[in-house]
Amino acid sequence: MTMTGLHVGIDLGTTYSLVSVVVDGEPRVIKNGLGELLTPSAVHVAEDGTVLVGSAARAKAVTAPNRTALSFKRDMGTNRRFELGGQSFTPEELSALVLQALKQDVETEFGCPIDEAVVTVPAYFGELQRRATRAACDLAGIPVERIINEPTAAALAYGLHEKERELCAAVLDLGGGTFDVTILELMEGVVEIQASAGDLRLGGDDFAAILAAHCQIRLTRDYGIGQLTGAGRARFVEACELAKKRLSSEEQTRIALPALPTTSGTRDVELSISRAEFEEACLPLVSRMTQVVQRALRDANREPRQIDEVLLVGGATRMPCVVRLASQLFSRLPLRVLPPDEAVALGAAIQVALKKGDSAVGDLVVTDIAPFTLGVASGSHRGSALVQGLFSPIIERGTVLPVSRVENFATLSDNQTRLLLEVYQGEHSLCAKNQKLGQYELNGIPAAPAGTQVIAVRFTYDMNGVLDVDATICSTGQTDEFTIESVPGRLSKKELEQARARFKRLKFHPRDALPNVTALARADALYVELTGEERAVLGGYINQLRVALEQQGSSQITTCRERLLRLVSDLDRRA
Amino acid sequence: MDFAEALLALGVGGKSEWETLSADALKRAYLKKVRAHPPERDPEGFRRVREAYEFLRALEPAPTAVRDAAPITVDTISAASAPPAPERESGELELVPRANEPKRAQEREPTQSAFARLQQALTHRQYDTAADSLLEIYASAPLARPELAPQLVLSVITKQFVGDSHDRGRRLLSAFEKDSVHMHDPLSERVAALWKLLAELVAIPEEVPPDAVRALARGIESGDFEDATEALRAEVDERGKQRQVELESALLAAAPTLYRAAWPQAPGKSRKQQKYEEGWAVYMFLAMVVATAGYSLTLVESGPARQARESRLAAASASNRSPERDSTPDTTNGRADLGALGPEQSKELEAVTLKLEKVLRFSRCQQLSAVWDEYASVVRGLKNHVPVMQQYEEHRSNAMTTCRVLPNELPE
Repeated sequence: MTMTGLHVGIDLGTTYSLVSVVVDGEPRVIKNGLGELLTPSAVHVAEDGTVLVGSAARAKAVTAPNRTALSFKRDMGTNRRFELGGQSFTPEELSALVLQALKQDVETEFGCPIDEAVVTVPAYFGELQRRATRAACDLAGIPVERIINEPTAAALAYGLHEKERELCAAVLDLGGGTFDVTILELMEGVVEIQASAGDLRLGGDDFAAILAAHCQIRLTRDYGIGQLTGAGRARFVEACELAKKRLSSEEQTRIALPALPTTSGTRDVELSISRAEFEEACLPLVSRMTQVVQRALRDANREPRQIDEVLLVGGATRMPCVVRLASQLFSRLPLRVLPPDEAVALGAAIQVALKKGDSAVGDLVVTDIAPFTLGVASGSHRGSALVQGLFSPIIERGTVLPVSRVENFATLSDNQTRLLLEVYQGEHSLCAKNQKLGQYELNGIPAAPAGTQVIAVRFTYDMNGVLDVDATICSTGQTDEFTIESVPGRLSKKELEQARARFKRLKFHPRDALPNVTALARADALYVELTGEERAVLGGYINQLRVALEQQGSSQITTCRERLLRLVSDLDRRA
Repeated sequence: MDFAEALLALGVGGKSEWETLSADALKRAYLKKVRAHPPERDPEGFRRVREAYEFLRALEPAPTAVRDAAPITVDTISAASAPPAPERESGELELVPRANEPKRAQEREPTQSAFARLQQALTHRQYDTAADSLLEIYASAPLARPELAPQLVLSVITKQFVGDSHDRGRRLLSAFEKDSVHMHDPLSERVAALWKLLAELVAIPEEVPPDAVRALARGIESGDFEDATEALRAEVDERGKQRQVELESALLAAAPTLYRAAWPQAPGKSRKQQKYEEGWAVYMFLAMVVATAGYSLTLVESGPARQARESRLAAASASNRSPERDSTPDTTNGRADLGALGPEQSKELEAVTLKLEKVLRFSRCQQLSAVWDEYASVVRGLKNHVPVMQQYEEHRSNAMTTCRVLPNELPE
């Protein structure tokens, strides 16, 4: 560990984000300012325009849902904007706010700036999402060395523990928002990624949403309550999320929501849900997971029985139905030695240490693959008709990275001097069904009969999953390098500057005030759930802290906050 | 990247070491090199190692390894793929006949003694007797005799040329080629390459001295063409420039692969360099066969079609271009007016479709035309079959999408 700069691994997750560092050859997750290992990926904008990130914002999701953004990782690389308290944010900006908070935490802990970071993304993230992630890091001022796949990181975390063995493993990563399956082989100290498959819209959040939909039906049936809105819905969804977590360890759980605001006044609501009921509701999600696993096995050309170990990572793999699915598919008990939430972050820290040649970590080498097929649009004469928009792959899915491949294309019509090179990503034979990454107009082709001028198109795909394209006109030797522009999710330099300037104008709570704000936010969120005496007691404690904050007596503030937090966690446990 | 570079990049000592390397050992050699050149720190080095690994992995084991098949025993006669034998009256025969197919009365059944003699001859390494027995077996009804392992037959043929029984070798090779229409399983690339080399050997004209031909046969057996080079050099030295031109053009026309493997190089090249090139030429050829033809060298076709394609292939490998697309497939085994698929046709169709789909899936466009011809020739016999034709159209558009070429319309 040098004091000149920090090398960190960052797991930017859908629900939680973590930062980790290799210390003395051992990766460990760094606690945030509140002493938590997991920082919720949540952003809240208060009424006065102050921005809150992390647990405080997560707690505000209950009391002020329309000023709070969650799960924005799912919208990375799209044009969606989040309106929070009159301000508009892109998913990149929200991610950048979370990253900034992580950066402050780790820099405070070690007292030096981040020198290099490895950030993880789901293996199934395409070009656009990877670029958006990079843009978020730029915005947060984190120098990204590398973007790696989450399952790769998880495998690294596990690989370190099992370096002596040679095996083929499947990593099932069910996070808050995404599901990834990776088949990899550990042999001769090399981790070889053989296949990656995933579903970008399948995660713990979806299980919670299914539970919420299920409970909503029960509410309608048992209480005659229609669709919930606003604050009522937020409280209800939060309660379902907690119930989902409880159902991982309990067979039966209770959802109690006193004074729930509905369209017909406030109602006291109480539901009882069994695990069997929940799992039956989740069957469609489980079958989608099965498909992803099978696709990965097919790509790796392996049978389930050829898999020696199954690793489960991601918080949502705590659900018994996921464990059962993994056991059934592979006929073996999955491995869960590392905490499922932390494995990815630990792996990211190992990756950055590897990159730096930190000898304490040993020399584990990783080879990764391209998750998608990349290619260009081409045309062809079919009889007299010209068929265009055909997808011509250049780098096949599953190709080992880094790779550089050339394909030759010829002009389609006589005296063609220009050519529009369109780059696509996807698996369909027609470009229209694939995702367009960018285009470039190649000029200066000598006039000649159709099919005689050959253009060599080279795709270079590096370890970061970043694509460079260059096109050479063979007859003249002219080479044009091609940068992908004007696609959603990509910030130009100017836009980046503007976003940075806007970031500077944002108001944040002073860092040392964060524990107080968070404690109050958590207490407020709990307050609405309680009734009677408990509510009165909690209200008293909250007021004490507010008074102490007004008087600015630091020792008194600390005492009040500690008391309040103890009470909150006691009451939480009782609920 | 060529073969020698690939071996060097993976740290495999040489040809002999590579020949004994299993797929697993090759992978381990690759992974060791990956550790030395991690993609993290040495992306260029890694790319080279990866390329070498992919190159070597695509090659089958060495083509010249006729001697690997020795000692030849009757066990190598493959009977495993034939259906189980029903009770037969003369059923003591170990070798399983192709039983479900009707026997033709006018053809003789092989006598048990022919097999017994073959077995005995192979055990005692009397390849002349073995060749005679094989000829006898080939003369019998093709459907009533067991399949003979192609590699065994080809090995015996090579032995004929080594042992100066050229005539018998020729006869046996032509019998083998005639019989090839009855084979079901696709040939391994190793056998295909060996066959190709033997076909070249047979085609060598009389004017090439017999010692040189014998030396070439030995070269095919051992992979070492040094003797052949010496024999040719001796002939040239003795007879002068005129003879050299004659010989060179005769060899080049009849046996381009052997020519490249054995022809003495132009003076001025160092001896070491020359030897190195001779030794590897055949391997290089194999790489080319695999790359251009892939699995197309199967035995379901008749001789003329194969020869046509082989000459096309040779032309292609000589000029380093992909084979012509518009060469017409043979029409000898076309089947007409079949509304429904017989078991044999569906098997044939299935095999060729599988091959085509493989080519398309992996975008092996160079192989497309050869496989396509084969596919078209099977489909042509099934024109009245609607699902087959629908599938054909689908494949056609797939082929166009994948390789940007328009495969031929179904020939009339």
